This record gives sequence, structure tokens and C-alpha cells, in this order.
Amino acid sequence: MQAATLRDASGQGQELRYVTAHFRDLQGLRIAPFWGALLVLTILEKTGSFSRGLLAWAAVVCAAAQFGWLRLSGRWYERHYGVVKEPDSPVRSGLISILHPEVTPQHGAAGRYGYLSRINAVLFLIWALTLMPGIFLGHNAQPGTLAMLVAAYQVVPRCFHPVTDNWFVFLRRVLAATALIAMAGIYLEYRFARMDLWTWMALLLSFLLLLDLYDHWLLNHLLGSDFTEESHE
Amino acid sequence: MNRNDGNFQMPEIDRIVHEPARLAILTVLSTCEEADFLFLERATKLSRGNLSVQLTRLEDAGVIEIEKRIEHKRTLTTAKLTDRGQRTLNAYWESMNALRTAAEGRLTANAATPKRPQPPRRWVPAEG
Repeated sequence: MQAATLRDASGQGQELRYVTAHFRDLQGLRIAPFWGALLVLTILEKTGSFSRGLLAWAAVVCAAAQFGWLRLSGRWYERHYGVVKEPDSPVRSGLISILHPEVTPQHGAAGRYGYLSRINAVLFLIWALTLMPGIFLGHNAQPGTLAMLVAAYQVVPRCFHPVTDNWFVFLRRVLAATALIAMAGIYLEYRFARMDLWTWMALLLSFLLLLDLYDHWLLNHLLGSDFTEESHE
Repeated sequence: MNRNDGNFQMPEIDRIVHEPARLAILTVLSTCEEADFLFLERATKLSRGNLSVQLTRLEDAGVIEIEKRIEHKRTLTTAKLTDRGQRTLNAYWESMNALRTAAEGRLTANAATPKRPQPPRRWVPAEG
């Protein structure tokens, strides 16, 4: 019985560590509007409602606005969910740190978590730049390959984040893995020209949008406002 | 589990850390550099009053440091685990792991030991 109680306590501890460690990762609304805006642009391009030049400018404006939105949304999260300062230990560089952002709890605050805002900002710029050649040149520009790489960078870490006993946390990994497999499959369809660029982009952006909205929902769920005190002394 | 069992010694449990609300606070703080009052409130799901009391107790025990500063025109109260707090928390988890190992070992031993046959119950006629 004591062992079971300890396991329960350990499960709650895991959940607390998870939400603290991935506090920044779970702030999905920092990026979701950007994916939403690009999704609208791709749909407009596909329907041919607007001129390509106009859409290219709109993509640039979206990318620029995203820099401001990152700051504003960061403030909003601070006001509603609080502030967590990540450990100051040196950032490990290279692919390993991208694939394994988690830190074992036994070693305490000995790592840095989540995505770096600056890297994300650069990625937004790259993403916008991948769209523009596509707008003018269509399938021949092959911007979908870079888009796939950028999307993979966004999604792959979610497949490797440690999970807890919480089913919704586990679902985050399942969704990310499913999205990654689906994106790879759709990319092959696009690569061999069986799918047009804008359908591919729209599907890719939809996956990213859904994943980020789920992240925000999960953060809200884990830091829910239903304050139920567990102990008094 | 029996304190009088010759093979088992109950590890000392730090009462400051062992209280669930304080343990939740320390778990959060052990995972980050520092966290503010609002995040601790939402993560631990404690009321403001209770959180404030628990933070004060932890600070009095020297386990955490509390700092108040003004950021973006609002007061930000942050808490941070001290080195002593980190050592205390590590020692606590070592004690709890020892306790768990002992408890699981005891359960395994009990399962392996054949049960003594129970004496037959005496039948008592119902009155009336």
C-alpha cells in the first residue's frame, strides 16, 4: 500500500516536473496564429482569389508581425500562467540537443528546455522565404522540401519529450508522431508531383496549427484554474 | 511495515519536505532556475493563502529564497531553491526510495511466505 502511495506521489511529481520543464514548449499560441495566417494565404493562393504579388507581400507582413506577436504573446502567458526561468546551464549544441531536450529529474536543474525563441524567429523567416519562391514559380521552386525540414524541427522534439502517467501528455507524443508520419507520407506524394504545392503546404500547416493548439490546451489543462487544495497545515 | 522489525530501520523523513504542498513546491523549483508565485499557484493548485504560508515556512527553513522585484510595472515574487534546499530534497528522495525498496521487499517476502492455516471459526448459534 505504501509502495502504491509512493507511486501515486511520484506520478504527480512527474506531472509537475513536466509542466515546469516544458512550460515554454506548451505555449502554443505563440506560434499558432502564424501557422493560421500562412494557412489562409495558401488557401487563397490555391483558390486564385488574389494576385501572387499581393500574397507574397502578405507572407512577408505575417513573418514580420510574428516577431511582435512572439513578444506580446509571451507577456500574455506571463500574466496568465506565470513566469518560469529556465536553468542557466550552457546550451548543448547540435542535433543531439534538438532530439533530446529533456533532462532527467534526478539531476535537477541541469539542462535547458524547449525551443529557443531566437531559433524560432529565424525559422519563421525561413518559412516565409520558402513560400515566396513557390508563389511565383509553383512546383518548380521545390520550396516544400525546406518546409518539411522546418516542420520536422518543430515536431520531432515532441516525439522525444518524456511522458508522464497523464494520458493527455502521452497523447501529445502520439499526435506528434502521427503528424510526423503523415507529413512524411504527404511529402512523398508532393515530391513525386502527385500533389500540388498548395495542397501540401495547407496540410503541413494544418498539422502544425493543430499540434500547437493542442499544446496550448494541454498547458491550460495542466495548469487548470480549478484550485483544489490537497493539504492544509 | 513494523518499526520493531529487526531487519528494517525506518529512514528519517524530513518533515519540512514531506508535507505534500511543500513537496509540490519543491518539485517545481527543483526543475527550474526560479518560478514566480502565479506559476506555483497554478501548478500546485494551492490557494494563495496556503501557498504564501508554505513558501514562508520553506524560506524560514532555508530551503528556498524568495525575491520580490518589479517587472513590466507589476510586482513579481519569485522563489528559488537554495543549495541547501537541493541537498535536502535529494536526501528526502533517497530516504523515500529506501522506504519504497524496503516496502516492496517486504511485500515480496510476504507473498513468498506460505500462509498459516487459519483456525476454524466457531459457529455461534443466532440468538432468538
